[in-house]
Amino acid sequence: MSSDVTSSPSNIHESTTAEKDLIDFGYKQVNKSEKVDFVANVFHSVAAKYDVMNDLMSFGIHRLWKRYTIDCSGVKAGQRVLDLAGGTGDLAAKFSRIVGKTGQVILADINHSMLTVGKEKLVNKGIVGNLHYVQANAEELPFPDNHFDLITIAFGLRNVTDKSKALASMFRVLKPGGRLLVLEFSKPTTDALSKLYDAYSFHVLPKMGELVTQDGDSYQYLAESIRMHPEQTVLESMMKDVGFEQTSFTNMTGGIVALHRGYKF
Amino acid sequence: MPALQVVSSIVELAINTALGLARNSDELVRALSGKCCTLHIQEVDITLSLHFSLPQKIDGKTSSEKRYVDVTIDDPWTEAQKQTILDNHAYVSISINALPELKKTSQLTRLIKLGKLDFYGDLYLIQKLSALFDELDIDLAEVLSQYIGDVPAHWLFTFAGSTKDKLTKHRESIMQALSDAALEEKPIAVRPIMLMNFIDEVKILQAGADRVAARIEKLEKDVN
Ligand SMILES: C[S@@+](CC[C@H](N)C(=O)[O-])C[C@H]1O[C@@H](n2cnc3c(N)ncnc32)[C@H](O)[C@@H]1O
Repeated sequence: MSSDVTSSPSNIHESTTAEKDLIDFGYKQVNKSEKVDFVANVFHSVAAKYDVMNDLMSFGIHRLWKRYTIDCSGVKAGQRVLDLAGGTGDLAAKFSRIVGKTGQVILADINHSMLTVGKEKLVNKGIVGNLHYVQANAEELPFPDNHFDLITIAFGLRNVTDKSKALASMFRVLKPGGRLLVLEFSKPTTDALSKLYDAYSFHVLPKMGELVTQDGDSYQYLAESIRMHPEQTVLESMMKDVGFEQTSFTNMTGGIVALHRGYKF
Repeated sequence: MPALQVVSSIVELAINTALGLARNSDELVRALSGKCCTLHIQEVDITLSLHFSLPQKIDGKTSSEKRYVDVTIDDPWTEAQKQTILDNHAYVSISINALPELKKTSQLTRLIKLGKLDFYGDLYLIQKLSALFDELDIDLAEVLSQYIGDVPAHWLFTFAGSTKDKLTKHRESIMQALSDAALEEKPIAVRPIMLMNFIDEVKILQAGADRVAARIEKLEKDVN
C-alpha cells in the first residue's frame, strides 16, 4: 500500500481551498483526487484472500449480515438488481439465483482485481447467464435512469470518496418503487462494546491481515475507515437529502453493522 | 446477531445436503427451478421462501457447488401480496403439526378443505414441492461408501440390516426379558418393610443419644 499520503489533520489548515480538496482515507487526509487510487491499492492487495479474511475477521458472521440484507430486499424472480461495490459477489450470487432467467443482476465494482476474483468464484459455482460484471465508480454509475428494482451496497460506501454523490447516483438509476439497501459498519450502541470492538479492530485485525495477506496496512485502513464512516443517523439523513423516502436502519450485532433502507417513489 | 438468519441457513443447508445426496434431485427440482414456494409456519409466525434453481453445468462440468435452493425469510405477507401473487410462486400458511402431511401429495386437497392449509398461487408448485420431499431417493450405503469405502459401507449396512432383522425377530422375547428384569429389579428398590426397619433403627439410635446427653448433663451438674 502506498504511504504517499498526508498523515495528520494538522497540516491541512493552510488554506480553505486546500481544506476543501482533502478527504479522509482512514485517519489520514489525502487529496480528493487521490483517494480512489489509495482505495484501489487496498483492494488490489487484498482481493485474492478477501473471502478468507472476511470469514476470519467476522468469525463468519458477515454471512448472517448479508443474509439479513437479502431477506430485507424483497427481491423476486424477473427483477433487475445492482450489487454495487459487489467485490467477490456474495450478494450477487444469491440474487442471481432468486431473480432467475427472466431477471438480471449487475455486479459493479470500481476495482478490476476484485471483479476478477468475484467472476472466477461465481462462474465456478455455476452462476452464469443472468449475471453481468461492470467496472464502475459508484459516484458516476453508467446506467440509465430508473433502471433497477433494487440496489445493494455492502461494505462499500465507506470507501467511496464522495458519498452523497454516490447516493444521488444510486437514486437516479433506481426505478420508482425501487429500494436501496446499504449494509455498512457503523457505531456500536454501547460504550463497552465500542471499547472491545476498538481493541479488536486496531490490535487484532491488522495483525491478522499481516499474517494472512502480508498486508497489515490495508487492515489498519479498514479499521480506520470504519471509525470515519458516518454513524447511523447521519447516514440516514444523507440518504434523505438526495431524495430517498421511508428511510430506516436496523442495527446488527450491537450496532457494529447497520442496514439502512430507503425507497424512491 | 440476526437469529432468524441462523435458522434459515440451517434449513437451507439441510435441504441442499439432502438434495445433494439424492440420486433423483435434478429430476425432482427441474419442475420447480426458477420458482418460489413461500411457507408461513403459523405457530411461530415465520415466513420462509424457498427459491429453487438447478446447478448449472459449465462446459459440460457440474459446478463446484451443488445448490438447489436458497432460503430467505420474508416479512409476514399482507392480504394484497397474497392476492397479487405471481404465476411462478405459491404461498402456503400451515400449522407445524400439518407439516409432515405436506409430504403426502394426496393429502393436499384434504388439508385445504379442512382449513389446515391456507393457500394462494400455483397449486402445481406445492404438489411438486410435496413430491420433492416424498420421492427423494437417497442410497445411504452409496453415500457412506464415498467416505469410508465400498467394503466397510457394505459390511456396515449388512450388519445393520441383520441386526434390525434379529431385533424384530426377537422382539417378543426381548420385551419379556425386559419386563422380567423390571420385576426382578423391584426388590432392589427400597421396600416399605426395609423403610420401617430403618426408621426403627434410627429411633433406637436417637434414644441412645438422648440417654448419653442426659448423663452428660447430670455429670455436669454433679461437678458444679
Ligand atoms: C469491503 S469490499 C465489499 C465487497 C462485497 N460487497 C462484500 O460485501 O463482500 C468493498 C468494495 O468496494 C469497492 N469500491 C470502493 N470504492 C468504490 C467506488 N467508488 N465505486 C465502486 N466500488 C467501490 C472496492 O473495490 C471493494 O471491492
